[in-house]
Amino acid sequence: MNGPDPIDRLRKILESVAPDLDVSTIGVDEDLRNDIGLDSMDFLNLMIGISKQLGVAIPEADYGKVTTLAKCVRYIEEQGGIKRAPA
Amino acid sequence: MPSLGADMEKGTVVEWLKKPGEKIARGDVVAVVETQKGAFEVEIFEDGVLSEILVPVGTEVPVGAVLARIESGEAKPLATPAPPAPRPAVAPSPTPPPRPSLPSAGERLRLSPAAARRAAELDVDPHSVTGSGQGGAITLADIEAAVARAGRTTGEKGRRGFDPSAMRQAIASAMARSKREIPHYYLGLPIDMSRALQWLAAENARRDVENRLLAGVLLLKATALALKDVPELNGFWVEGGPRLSTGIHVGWAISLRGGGLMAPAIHDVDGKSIDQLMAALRDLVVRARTARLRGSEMTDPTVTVTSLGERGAERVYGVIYPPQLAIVGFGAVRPAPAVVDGAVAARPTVYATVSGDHRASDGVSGSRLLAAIDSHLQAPEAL
Repeated sequence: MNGPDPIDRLRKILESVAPDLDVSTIGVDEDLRNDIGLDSMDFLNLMIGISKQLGVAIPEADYGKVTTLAKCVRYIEEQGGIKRAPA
Repeated sequence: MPSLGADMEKGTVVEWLKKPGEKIARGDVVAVVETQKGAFEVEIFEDGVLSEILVPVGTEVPVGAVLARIESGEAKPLATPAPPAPRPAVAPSPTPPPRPSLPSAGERLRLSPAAARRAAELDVDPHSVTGSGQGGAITLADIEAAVARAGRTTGEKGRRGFDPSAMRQAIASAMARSKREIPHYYLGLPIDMSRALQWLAAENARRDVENRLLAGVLLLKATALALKDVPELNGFWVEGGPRLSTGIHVGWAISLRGGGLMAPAIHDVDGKSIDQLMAALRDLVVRARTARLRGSEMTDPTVTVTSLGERGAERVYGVIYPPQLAIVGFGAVRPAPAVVDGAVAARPTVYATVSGDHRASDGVSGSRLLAAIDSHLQAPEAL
């Protein structure tokens, strides 16, 4: 990811989908569903945010590969989505 | 002061969004009130001019009190009576149960300076924390544990007007009343979700991310269609008898990360498309979490659906929210052995349950409801 820290960008997206969470306390390796408590609606909204803001549409079949913030960044970088995203 | 549920006795006006003399139209939000379940928006049900505010900000008044007057040719009081919602047949118990083990605000708290500082930083009310230190003293660890239990929400980012211990009390009184007054019967049925999930996966694979569907929406729609087939479980127990509802307004149970639970209404679920329901659900969840629900959304549900989601238990036998007649529960979808064509096969299965009010219906109706939910889920393309 160019520009701002990719983890911070994901945290911003997460904050908009779960405004009741204090996203700054979420560790990069914490499981977004089991540890953070995202439900299926929150998780879908996170996928929508990533698609809109980082240009990567993560298929449902790959949800198992994006269970933490760190894994999300890795996945998005592999798809080349971050470089296209504005800094 | 509108009643926002069987368990509400009073509320506090925290904000007026309209001024005297302002024009208002049906559906406008005119005020925000704070209740045990957090803050809610009060909408009005007619056009007119707000002529007089009778309850100033910060004042607590009982349910039924007149908050303001609307001039609409003839003067009509605002929000009295409550929106066309059922009133509980039985008045809430006159004395609310005492709060156990919480020191009262006047009592001196035993609190270390470090704990006090941390509590202020994290916006935790130390009165709501149980001390584990010597003589019940509250330690730094107690404060942090309380925040962790509250699911990392902070006062600033949490729901406005949300007090977890008050929410607990609200749930306690509604559920105690339910178990005291409603003779529940319980039924369960495992439902094969193969077809529904295959249909869903194929749909989602061809849809844009933002138009994807969740399995919960299929459960929601199937339940509403089943209630159309079995209407005796949709409605309220009022004044000693069942009052069935023609509209199917499903209270969708939403678990709040700060603790607690609410089940606001999705209206006319049987008449909405899957995509409309998906949009309605998304909107409702976000507003529940940020306390932007309308008061009427709390009183409109004619039935409740609780879906535990993919990480939930296998089955849930819900407690009916008075004065409703039933609650439908869905556990997590998981592989389970099923007999298919005389052989045992592993199938994705959801365990559906219904808890019914035995005063209003018998188990045969509940059984028919579960069978109807099953049959609707076997034809997902028709949902």
